[in-house]
Amino acid sequence: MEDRLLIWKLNRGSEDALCRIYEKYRDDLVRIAAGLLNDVGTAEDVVQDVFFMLVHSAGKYEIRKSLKGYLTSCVVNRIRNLNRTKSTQDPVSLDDVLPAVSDSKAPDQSVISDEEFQYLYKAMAQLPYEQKEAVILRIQGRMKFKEIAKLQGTSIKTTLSRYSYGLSKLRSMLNSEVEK
Amino acid sequence: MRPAENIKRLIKNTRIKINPEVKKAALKELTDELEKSKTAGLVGTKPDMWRIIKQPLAMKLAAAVVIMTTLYFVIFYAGTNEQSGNTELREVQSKPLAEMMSILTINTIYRQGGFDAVQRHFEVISEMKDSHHRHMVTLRDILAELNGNGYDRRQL
Repeated sequence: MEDRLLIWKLNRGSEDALCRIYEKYRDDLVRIAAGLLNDVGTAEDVVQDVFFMLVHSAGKYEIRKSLKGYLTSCVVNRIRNLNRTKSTQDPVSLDDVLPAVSDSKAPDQSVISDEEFQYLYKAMAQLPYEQKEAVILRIQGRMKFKEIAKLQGTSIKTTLSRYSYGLSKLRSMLNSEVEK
Repeated sequence: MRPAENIKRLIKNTRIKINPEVKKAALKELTDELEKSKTAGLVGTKPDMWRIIKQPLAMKLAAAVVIMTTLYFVIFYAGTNEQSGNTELREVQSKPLAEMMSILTINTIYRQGGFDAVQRHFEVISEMKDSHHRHMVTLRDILAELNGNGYDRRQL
């Protein structure tokens, strides 16, 4: 209900509504994008582009379902377009993946805390993109399998398979990393 | 062996520390962009009512029901208002006396305004009679005469 009201206000040019939507969803969207891209800087750029698109389309389109779902779909589609042009998803070994943590104290750098999460991101970089997408959208995006299947253009069964294969691969990779 | 639930928890609890200055600057960019869009007239205008009505199915049905209900009331109730009935009654009362007392005329008046209208009609008729027979002729008198009760008017 709040989202519908915010959209209604945004369609009428309300800055407060825009700020509220930004505060509410920006961090989650960056988290999802960072998981898909393995790069927080690019993730922030993608999310910013999506919000720009939202501002430009205010009043032109009607968002009938969940606002978060809509924004997440936009982020995912934008990342796919980016991957098509950049080919950043070539499989790499764990040793070759650049650390997601930045030691720079520059204000435009974001950091990922905790060694555990570093291992996680390294492991996720090895997953095929569709499986990684299914896992992140399900767990971090809290999307239903039906919504993920629609986004990926596949059946629910295929999405479920991708999700469970992705999780078991992550488990085996993280376990082998722990055993080292 | 790390259970699957642990992996899910790990993914779910991923934290990304975001520089608040960066976030603030990004939000400022967006609000500036929104202002530009408003100035250009792209945002903040009232949405097209017809576009809103025609899109969702529920709105289409609601609009159809409203239109049909309005048409129904206009067609079926517009011709039976009191004003048109009163106009007809006045037209009847302006005709010659003999015609005013005809059964057809009385029937018409009754349909328009009931017994009260017929009573008023006969009051008008009685005023039009000459002084020799001047008296108030009631509906009961007329019905009695029509029913053949041998009622003598001269005795009134």
